[in-house]
Parts: sequence; structure tokens; C-alpha cells
Amino acid sequence: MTYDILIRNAVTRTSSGKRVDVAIAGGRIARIAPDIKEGAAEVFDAWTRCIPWRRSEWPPFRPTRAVPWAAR
Amino acid sequence: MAALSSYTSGSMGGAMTAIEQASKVKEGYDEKWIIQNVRKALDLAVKFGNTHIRAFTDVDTKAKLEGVKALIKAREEYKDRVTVQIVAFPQDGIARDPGAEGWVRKALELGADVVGGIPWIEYTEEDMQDHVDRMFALAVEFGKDVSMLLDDAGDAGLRTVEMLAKKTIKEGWEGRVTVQHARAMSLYPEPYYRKIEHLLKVARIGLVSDPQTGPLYARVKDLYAAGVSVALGQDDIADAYYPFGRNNMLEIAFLAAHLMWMTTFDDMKILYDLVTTNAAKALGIADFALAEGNPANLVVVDAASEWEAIWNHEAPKLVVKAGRNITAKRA
Repeated sequence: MTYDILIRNAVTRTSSGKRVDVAIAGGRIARIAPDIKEGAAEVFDAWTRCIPWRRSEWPPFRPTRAVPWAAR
Repeated sequence: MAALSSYTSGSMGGAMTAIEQASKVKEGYDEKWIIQNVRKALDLAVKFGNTHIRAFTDVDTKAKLEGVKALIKAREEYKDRVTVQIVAFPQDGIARDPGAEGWVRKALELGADVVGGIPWIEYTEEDMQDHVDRMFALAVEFGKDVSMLLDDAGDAGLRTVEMLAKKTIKEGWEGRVTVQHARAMSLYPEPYYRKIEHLLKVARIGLVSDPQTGPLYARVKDLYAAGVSVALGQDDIADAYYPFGRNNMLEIAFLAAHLMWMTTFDDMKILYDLVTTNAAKALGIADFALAEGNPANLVVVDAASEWEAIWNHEAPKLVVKAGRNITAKRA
């Protein structure tokens, strides 16, 4: 099946923090599953971290570009 | 700016004065310039992934149908990007503005989606109840949902949330009614607050709070814990009551985190609910969950957690509306 949009590695509320792919076809969510293999007309940014809904686990606090003092 | 000062100063004792001052603007209402402002607001909504909006449109003896006509055009123009619900809203009251009820009826006949109301600004409790009853009668006649701005002042004696909840149950309109503001709730004695919380649950009324636009706000966290469909709203954008606003709901959550002192990680999960799933419930939007078979309305945020999403409150990486990529182009 060819999907209209395939979002890879989304972290969603419904997946309890696991990364899944979200496939969209015909205006609806066609499939939510890890590692969807079927073709897609458009693959969106395969390694973007995504939270369309809720992630169940918080990441540990870690240095980021937004907190330069944390890296020192 | 006079209305803005009146609205926010003196523990919101001047909120009614603010409405009277802002009303003067409506003498120059014209669909032609209103729609330009509507388009600016809706373009911001697309940019920040806000794909459902309930818009309160003044309908009274000054504004007449100018705002509604502009919103109906915009609703059609943007239907593939933003779902707009138009509220026929008698901002200046019903008893205080004789003739306004007729304009609300005309707005519904023209195509408004929701019946509005603002009973707390009437002069007497009898007029407040009459305001609720007359607007509800229109909702029943036209088969529409109800959305009212209630108890929006620093007066612990305001009782229009109770009036609307009781009316909702009496008419069997449970699950079809939304309350906005209810700021006086923050001043209620605890026993009365608990009564109101119970009535909101029984009537399945959604409540939308905008803590960024006034110094008082409803007891959002308590209502959430009680299971009420409470949500956060943008309310104003650069108008008489508020000078900012970008239709960015993560920005609203960010502001609310500070104003309501909700800064723990658990609080941020709640804040995220308040601008996503709870907001959908409050507005009666069906099939909003991320599930196979549901409409593909997705907002993809470049963040690893609710915390990061609210912290940065940046425009999303991808906005999908009914399966179409509608992401705004970056400048």
C-alpha cells in the first residue's frame, strides 16, 4: 500500500514511549506500528523526534543547546 | 487601551466597564476590515498547528452581522486547514441591549454554529437567568451547542455557572455546553466551589480558562483532577482586552505554567492535555485521538517530551489536517 504521508519514529501517547511509524492514507490514520515497510508518497523527516500526543516517560535531564551552563 | 486597564486592574472589579469601553469600537464594524484580521489570526493558527478554533463573534445592535459574515467567509476559505466554529455572541447583553436577541437569531439563520451568551453582565440576577433561558431556547430551537462567557469578574457573588449548569441538565443538553472564563470561581468559598464542580461533571460541561488575559482564573488543576473537561484557550489576540496572542497553544501552556505555578513534570503532562485532548473534549470534537481509522489530524513537534515542547513552544515541524500536509512555509 502507498501512503500519503509516513511519519517515522514518532513518540506518541498511545505507544507508551515506544517509537512507532504513523501512516496516513485517504485523510485518515491508516496504520500505527513500528517499522512500517510499505511505500509512501512522502516520508517526513525520518529521525525527527515527535510527540503528536503523550509520551509516558520523561527523559532524564540532560545538557542541551538551550542550557549551555549544563554542559560545563 | 482604556478597556485593557479596566479589565485587568483592581482584582477585575472593572471588567464590566472594560466591556462597555470596548463596545464603542463596534460602531465602526465592517465585514471588509474584520475579515483581514480574521485571516491574520487563522494564518497564525496554521503556523502553530491550531487546527480547530471556536471564534466568539460579537452579534448585537452595534456589530449586527458584520463579524458573522466575515467569519462565515473565512470558515469556508480555511476549511481545509482550520475547522472554525462560529459563536453568535451577544457581547453587550440581552436585557442591557434590547434587540440583541433578534440579531443572534439572524446569525444562526445565516450559518453560525454555536449559541453564545454572557449573562453575568446583566444588572440583576433575574436578567441573568432570563439571558441564559432565552439563549438556551434558541439553542434548542436550532439544535446548536451552547458556549457562554461566565462570571468574568472579581465578584464571589456571581452565580451564572450554576445557572447554566442547571439549565443544561433541565434541557437534556449534557455534553453540548462549554463555559469560558469562570474567573469568580477562584473567590468562591470551598463548599460552593465543590457544588459547582459537581454540577459541571453531571452536566458534562467543558470549561475553557485563559489565565494569561486576567489576574483571576478558574481552578483549573482542581477541575482537571475532578475529571471536568477543562482546557486552556487563547481568547484574545491583540484586541481591547489583551495586547499579544499568536494562536500558539504551546505558548499558552507555557504562560499558564507560570501563572498557575504548574512547573513540575507531572504538571506539564496536565498542561499538554489542556491544549490537546481536553480541549478537543471541551469543544465536542469527535475522533480526535491518535488511532487507526480516525481522521489524520496530527501536529508533529520537534521535542522529546511535553516538557521540551512547552519549554520551547516553537512552531511544529509538521501539521497534517485530514491527511493533507498544511505546514506553513518557513520565512
